[in-house]
Amino acid sequence: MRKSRPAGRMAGLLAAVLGLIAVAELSARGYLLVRGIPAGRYISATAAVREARAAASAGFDTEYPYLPFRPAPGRTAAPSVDSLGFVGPETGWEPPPGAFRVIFAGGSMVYDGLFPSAADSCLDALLSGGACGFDSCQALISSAPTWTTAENLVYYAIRGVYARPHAIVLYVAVNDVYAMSHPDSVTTEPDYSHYRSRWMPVAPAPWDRIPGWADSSRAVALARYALDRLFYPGVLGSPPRRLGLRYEYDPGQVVGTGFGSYVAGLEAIAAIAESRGTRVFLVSELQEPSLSSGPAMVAAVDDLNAAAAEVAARHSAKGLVSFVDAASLITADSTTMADKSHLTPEGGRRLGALVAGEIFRSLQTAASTGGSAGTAP
Amino acid sequence: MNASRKGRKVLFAAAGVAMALTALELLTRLALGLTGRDYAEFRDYNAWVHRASTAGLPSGYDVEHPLLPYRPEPLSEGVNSHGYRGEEFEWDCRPGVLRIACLGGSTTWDNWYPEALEDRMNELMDSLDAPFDSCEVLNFGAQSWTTVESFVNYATRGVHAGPRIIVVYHAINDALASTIPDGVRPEPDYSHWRTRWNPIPRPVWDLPPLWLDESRLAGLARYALNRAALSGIDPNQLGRCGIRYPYEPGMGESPFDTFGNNLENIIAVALNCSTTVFVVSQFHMTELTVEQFGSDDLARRVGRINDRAMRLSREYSGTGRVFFLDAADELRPDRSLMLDNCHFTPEGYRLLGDWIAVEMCAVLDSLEWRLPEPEDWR
Repeated sequence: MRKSRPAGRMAGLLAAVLGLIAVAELSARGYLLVRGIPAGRYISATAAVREARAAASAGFDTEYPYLPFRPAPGRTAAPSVDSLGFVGPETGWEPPPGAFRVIFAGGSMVYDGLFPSAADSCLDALLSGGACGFDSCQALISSAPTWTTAENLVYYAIRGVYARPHAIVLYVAVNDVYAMSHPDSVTTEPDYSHYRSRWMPVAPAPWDRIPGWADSSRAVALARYALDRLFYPGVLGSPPRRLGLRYEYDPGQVVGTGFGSYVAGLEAIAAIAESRGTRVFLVSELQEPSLSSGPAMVAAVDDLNAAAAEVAARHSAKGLVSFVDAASLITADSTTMADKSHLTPEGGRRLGALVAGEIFRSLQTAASTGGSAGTAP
Repeated sequence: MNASRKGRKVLFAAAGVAMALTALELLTRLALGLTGRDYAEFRDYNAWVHRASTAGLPSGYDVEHPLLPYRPEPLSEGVNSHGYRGEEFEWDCRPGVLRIACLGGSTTWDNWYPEALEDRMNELMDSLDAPFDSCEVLNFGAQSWTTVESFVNYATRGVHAGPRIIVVYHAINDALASTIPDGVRPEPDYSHWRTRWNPIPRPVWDLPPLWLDESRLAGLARYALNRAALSGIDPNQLGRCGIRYPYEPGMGESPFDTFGNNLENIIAVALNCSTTVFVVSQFHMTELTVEQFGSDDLARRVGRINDRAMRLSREYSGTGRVFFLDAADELRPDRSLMLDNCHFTPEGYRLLGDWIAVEMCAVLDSLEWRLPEPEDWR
């Protein structure tokens, strides 16, 4: 008898808690029903906020003042980032003695390191005999997923130049196509700010640990919403998107901003590099048409590749800006392409070898004609 | 009887709560003492959060632009739809209009000097028979912008407005951004000095007044809640305009030639667009700096930056498209025309705008007003 009393109390307590939960759940459902509000509105709003909070810890620095985000300096998780903000092992502002230093700029196809590391190895081998006044190569990867010419221009001009690169290799096109594509209603901006905002950091909340399926309970969904509303009032209305992108790409969108931002970005990079005697290699971007989002995307990337060739031609007089037509010289197929734009390791190897060969040839030409090998301030 | 018993119970409960709080306060102080932690750092963090959250969204500024820490909010008071102070304009310049863009910080953003420049240019162009119908001056300035922000804005946005001339009026903000306190690692892009401008919503626990933080228990509880809600955000990232620390005389100086690099970038981009550049040294009244800071340290830093601007402009003078106007040396404003060491009164700004217009017209007249069409990259 004495033992069953505590058990009875426990059972009573449990029943009371369950009863309270049931009352809360019924109240929540009743509230939604009476007000005619679909629960999905709360659930999707809090899910978006949760996603934004989770994105804040993705290994990117979202507090840097001049970019929507960049690889976080000092990141140890792969791919590692050095303390200066370049992807890869620790470097320094001063190039190592005898090393030919190259900045590889672009989007995710550069960030993944396949093509820059292949080019680095090839150039290392080509220069190892002391040819052209250098005995090695050092590749600095200055890129991040979805970066366009706008981010690359800014990072190179206000940071990259201090690394005193002898050359900069730019491999970017498809990200600019995404940035140039927009729904009809969007007013375009020359700096692509119609397409991207800053990537807002949002601190994770303890209630994010409650799994999403728990929102099937209207009481939990409303409680989560109330907490988000209380602690994240500015975020709930317009949750920041991953990488700061304002909308998704759709093949039916209008392509073109009316500003010529891609060409203006390449022109600015070329002008800044030339003012410092730095070589520029504009590399046309490979694409696998059968995997592309549609003919509009294929045509747009082709157009930008052609525009890059024109930029190089306009700067030919000084002999520092070259165009490497990788899109014509390398076959884009399942051996070289992992998807419509990203390279396989084999694709990276072929592209790296091609670019390294072009750089080496330009150095040989410069050496034979007494021209600049590419110097920095 | 019942009432007095209830009263006694309430009294005992209140006394119990008070004793518990006192015990917790003492324990907290003891823990702080034993761990050797300085309570001031917790209290300062709470004060930072209070300042940042009560400032609200930075009025009149857009803090979500992807390439700038902030910029004038498009269509806010006095700002056009493109995010620049002044009248609405079309990206395409009208035929026959001489378009000039002014790059700078608050001394440009104040807008009196760009307005004065436009007025005076229009007068002078009439009298000099210049081959333009009119002059239009765009204001590409914002408060506390350095040459980094001006470069980013000009290279990614401003060039698309196709100005034939740009005027660069910068020095003091770069001088401030080049300061390095002990323990801070300098960065070439001033990111040691500035971060994003982070607007944060005011948390409910910020509502109780800050003097309550005299209680270590209350202060630490508020601190714990702040840290939980703002995890990952450094307190130094909550300053106005994203500035991490204030200036103090005698601070160290960055080893990077950031001002020179940015000015060179602006010149390179401008020349590539066939745009003419006027670099104007920034006027700075030393005696007002001494009054404010008790030292002429800042004035000397500004002087060094003006010298750098002059040397760099001369290096590019051979292009025939880069000119240096030494306002710092040639302007002699009365003290009554200054609001502080670098900001003028409206009359003072008119003096500056008039002077730049006269000097610019003299240069342009010597070039027979041959200003090429800016490149159109479309």
